[in-house]
Amino acid sequence: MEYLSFHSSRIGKTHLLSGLPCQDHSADGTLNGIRYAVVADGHGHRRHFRSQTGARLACKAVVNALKVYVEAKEPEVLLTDEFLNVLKQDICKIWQDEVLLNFAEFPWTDAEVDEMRSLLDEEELERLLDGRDALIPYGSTLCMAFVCSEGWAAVQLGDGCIVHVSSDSVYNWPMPESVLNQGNRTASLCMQEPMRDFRHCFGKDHPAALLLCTDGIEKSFPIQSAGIASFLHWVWKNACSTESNRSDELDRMLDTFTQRSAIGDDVSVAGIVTAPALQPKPSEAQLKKEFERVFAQLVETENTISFNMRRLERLRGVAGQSELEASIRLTIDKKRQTAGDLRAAATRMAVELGLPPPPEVLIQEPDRSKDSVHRAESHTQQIAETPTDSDATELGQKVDGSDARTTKQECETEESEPNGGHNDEVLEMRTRINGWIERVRLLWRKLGKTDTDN
Amino acid sequence: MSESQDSLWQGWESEFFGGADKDSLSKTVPASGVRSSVADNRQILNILFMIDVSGSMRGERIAQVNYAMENIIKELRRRDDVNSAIKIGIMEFSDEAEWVTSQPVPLEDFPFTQIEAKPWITCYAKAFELLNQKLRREEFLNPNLGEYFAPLILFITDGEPVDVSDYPAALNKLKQNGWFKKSSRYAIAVGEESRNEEIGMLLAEFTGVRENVRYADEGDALCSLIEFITVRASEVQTSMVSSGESGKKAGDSIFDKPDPSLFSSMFNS
Repeated sequence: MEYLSFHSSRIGKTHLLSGLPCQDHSADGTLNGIRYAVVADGHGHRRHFRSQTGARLACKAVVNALKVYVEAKEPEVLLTDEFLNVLKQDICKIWQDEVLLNFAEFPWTDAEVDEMRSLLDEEELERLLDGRDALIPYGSTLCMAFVCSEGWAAVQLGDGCIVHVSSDSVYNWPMPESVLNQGNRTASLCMQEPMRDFRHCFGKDHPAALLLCTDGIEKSFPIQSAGIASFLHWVWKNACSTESNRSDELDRMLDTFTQRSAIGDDVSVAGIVTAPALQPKPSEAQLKKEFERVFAQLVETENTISFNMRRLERLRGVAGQSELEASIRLTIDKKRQTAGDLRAAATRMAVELGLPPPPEVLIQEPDRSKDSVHRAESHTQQIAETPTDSDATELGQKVDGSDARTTKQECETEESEPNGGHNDEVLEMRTRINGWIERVRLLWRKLGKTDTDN
Repeated sequence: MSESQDSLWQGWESEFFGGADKDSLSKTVPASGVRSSVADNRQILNILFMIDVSGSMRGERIAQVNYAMENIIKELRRRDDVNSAIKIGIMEFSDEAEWVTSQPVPLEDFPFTQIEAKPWITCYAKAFELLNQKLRREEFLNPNLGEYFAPLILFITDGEPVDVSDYPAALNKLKQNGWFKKSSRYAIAVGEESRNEEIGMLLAEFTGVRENVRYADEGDALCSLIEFITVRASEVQTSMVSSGESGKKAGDSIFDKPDPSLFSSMFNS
């Protein structure tokens, strides 16, 4: 089965405001035919002042641990309790070694020591300074999953969640419950005995997806709810719409999420998903809903094209508009491409649903040729109605010296002409009549009369 | 479940499971194969301009409207928001009414070209009827395109309507429209002839709130007022957490008090 993978980590609203870095990290990739994804969440407490590095090293440790085995072991061996326990021990060991290397290369700064002086008691500070507690500042959680030809497996230390989407599209939470994670407390790589709460699970099936996220996302939803499932579903749909592992749109979506989420924490998602061609077939109801959505988007796009083309038509021959014209043409080209994709998708779905394909012409242009005739007729009617003929005649004479009755008669005569609404003389006549009506109304009001007065 | 978790869940729910199917986790991937961008999932704000293009708007007045519209498009594009997708609809009305855009056009695809005044008189009934026709799910508020903020409607006119016997009924019918009730509505009375309480009250009937009726003469003030109302009101509309409707009540104004140019009796008594 063909799989893709993706990952993304984005800084949370809280850290952005306080100037802290993103303490999440994530990674994905392939090792000898095994596809993996991992997320890690550095602890936010002041005591874990290098947790962003800890999270990065956690992801690195996973990759290095997997590398050792995936080339040497047969796939079926990877999906056993024994192997996964060994893998977890190796991850912890590699992480600790990497942290100590980092500490050796970058000893505590004065600022870091001062910060800890205010936080720790004497003994704790001493243990930190001499390196015995060097792991603590790097504390991080870890969630990792991988798929191979025989099935899949996942390991988890600390909070966050791993969701298994089966081939018949059921969302499961396969990881055993933690004994330590409660409220804001979480198990961590920096604990003295991380193996106590380092959990794992595996299966010999081929899931549609394995989706991982840190608690910045998990805690924004009710536990194991349809909400988080739908969120991860959206992530899956968008993250794997391209071939690349990191999608700019996924990053943007997570940025949106962090803005909306009341939690404000850093967020990470990663996943291993079946390639689009192999995704489960949707039901007819889903397909119909999706068809309606795509069709609505197609109509909107065609409408946008039509509107822009009308605009372009209006600009033809108008000097000094070349930049605007160019911009409109660009919009039209872009929208035509989008419309093509949408039409193809809508046609494909229509065929599946047994519906006729979308018609070629979706947007009906208004028939403007009738407009002027209708206007001529309605103006004639309005002149007849408001105000009364005799009063209007008298006032018309007072206002501009013209004979309004004559004007009205001219109008009526014109109405009988076959194409009375279309020539310049008629247009000019209409303009005069309109001006006459507006002046009459102003005068009427100044005289303190209403329309019903005589 | 905390309140924050609940509201965020509600925000995503209709996105994927359409409300009716929210308990089923077996419904999964849509099969369209069409890439769904982040922009598609933003909540939609329709900004609808109803512009009087009767003969008396010719010259400086329509020029200021055009100038304002151009600036508004630029400003709104500059403020591109990850939470909201703005779409623009323009209705021109004089004796007849016509939507220049048969559906609201996404801001990024909207090329502003000049609005022209026409040599006709001013009628409101057709404008109200047309607005009523389009403020519907089947028309401007198609749920297949996404969720919507309450629309923002800006009505710009310079004079009393000629159709005094027709427009009250049309306005009353419009006021029954659910989306109209929810919408934020502002009106601008342009020019000296419109500077009276009668016009003010008429437009207040449309907006529902006197504070939302403003006067502008035909100079730069008109342009500035149109820009200010559109940009500020759109910020207010989109600043609420997504739950399908604006947190402000329809008609809550961005202004503190009625315009004294139009409602002088309130200030002179």
